[in-house]
Amino acid sequence: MSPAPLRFERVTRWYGPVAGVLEVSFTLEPGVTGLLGPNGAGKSTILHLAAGLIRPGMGRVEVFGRPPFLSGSARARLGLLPETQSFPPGVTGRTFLRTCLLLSGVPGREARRRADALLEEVGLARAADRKAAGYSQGMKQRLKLAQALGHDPDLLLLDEPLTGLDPLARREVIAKVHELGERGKAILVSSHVLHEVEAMTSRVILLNQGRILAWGEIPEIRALLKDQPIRVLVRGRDSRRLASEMARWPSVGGFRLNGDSLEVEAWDGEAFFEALGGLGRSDWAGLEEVRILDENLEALFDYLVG
Amino acid sequence: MLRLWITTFRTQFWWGWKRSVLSRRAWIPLVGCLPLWAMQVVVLTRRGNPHFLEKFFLYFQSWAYLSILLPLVSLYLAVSALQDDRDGGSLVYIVSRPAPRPAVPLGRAAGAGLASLVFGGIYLAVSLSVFSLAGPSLGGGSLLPPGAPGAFFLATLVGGLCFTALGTFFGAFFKKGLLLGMALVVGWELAAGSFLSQAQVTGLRSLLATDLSRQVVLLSLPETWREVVSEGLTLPEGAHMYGVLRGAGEYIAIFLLLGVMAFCLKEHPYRARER
Repeated sequence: MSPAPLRFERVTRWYGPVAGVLEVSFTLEPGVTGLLGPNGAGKSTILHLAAGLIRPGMGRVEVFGRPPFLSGSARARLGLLPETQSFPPGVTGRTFLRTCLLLSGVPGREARRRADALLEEVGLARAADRKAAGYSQGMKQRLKLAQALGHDPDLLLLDEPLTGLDPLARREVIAKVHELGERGKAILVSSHVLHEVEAMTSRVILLNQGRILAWGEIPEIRALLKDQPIRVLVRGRDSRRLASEMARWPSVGGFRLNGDSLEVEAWDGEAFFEALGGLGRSDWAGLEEVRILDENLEALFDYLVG
Repeated sequence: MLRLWITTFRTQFWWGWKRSVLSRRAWIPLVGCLPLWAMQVVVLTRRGNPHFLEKFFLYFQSWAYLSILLPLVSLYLAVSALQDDRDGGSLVYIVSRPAPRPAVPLGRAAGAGLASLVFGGIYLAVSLSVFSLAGPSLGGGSLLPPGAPGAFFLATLVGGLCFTALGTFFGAFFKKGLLLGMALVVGWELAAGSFLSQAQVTGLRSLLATDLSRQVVLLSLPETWREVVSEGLTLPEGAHMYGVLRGAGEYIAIFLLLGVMAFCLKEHPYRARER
């Protein structure tokens, strides 16, 4: 069995008296996974540990079975898009990208060719011979993406990849991330912007104060939060009658009438949807919309982080 | 792996070299040369005694240049070759790659070392030219001691490489590498090299690069000059060029090794901003 692209095993990392991450364990599989948390949660610490920039104080970090801090062969299979906006001074975009490819083991001529192709792909061909340090934020972000992808890594670590990009560029990056995930790459995308991550994946790791609160698919995580009732929007022909009918169901904890729709809090999701299915078959209900309101990251965050 | 080593060393060498020579940083060593050139010109124009001027050249270059200017310039270039990227956060692009980490400080040191030799060469070329031209105008022959140009260029090579190695260590190990390195140059190299006698210094040869470079000068000059300068620069017993060069080699090896180890084992300073 081949080793997982990324594995954290009871990793703790301290910064003086403050824990950056505490007893963090997870395994990253191929596909896109979001790494979410508020500022200070430990997202960048996790990415830096995974990229081999820093070492864990305790526990193990492995990239394809090897510790990235010590192993060049592990680092050869990963690509990092760091949060930094800084580039080596005095270096053009083309030289920077070519050097990054050379340092990843791509031979000279191939590095040159690939750098030119990448610059074209990310829309920086015209600015390639300008100093990278003078690029706009969006251009820097695109250059960072190019250097992360250039050597075709199997594991991608993206720290706030959409920062500074215009809406069109964001869509292109999101599409690219999806495409890479479908090709079997393992991608860990860190962000504190929930809707950005939701646009890229439904598989997340939720962090707060250095600890993992939950990880997995969003609906699975939501299903585990049994102390929080599910909030469901129901809209039908006669909302008041729906409300009075649902009030007799033991699975319903409460509801609120909102114009022509009903927001229901259900403690037992399975029983509620079964009963709703029965109601849907009746003539008078005329159900037009049934939507779970809190099967999203924002709701999960509110419940878990508070 | 060997190819990646060579590629990494080569790219880092060029970055170290370009950063030292083509950036604004290049002006600092040149500006540092100006007061020394000015002092030499002032002395030449005011004190016309050729005998005095010959001695002045030797002493002045040994102290002002070999013990102060060259160490500080080499240190500055070597520390800056690593620290700019590290403090700016752009070193992350290199250390997150499979490029062998030891090749990074070694390549940067080589580039910065070459740059310090170039600056040393420029300084000496101007000083030597000024003294060579001044001699005939004072009605005498050359004011340069025989063999002095070769001796000082060789001493520049030894001293420049030693302080580049020291700068690599300080740049890799300490956040305030430049300040600490300058404190060591002034507090230990200059002071200990000035006040310890040569006999004591022989035992500490691997720890005093300024003394090593001055001994290179002494040992490169023709026999006759050794007697003339022996009042000020006493020759230790058993001193010979092989021992001096070996001491320099040890100095360079120790600090480069420490610098490489520091770079490889220390974490990279692009630390998580969040905690």
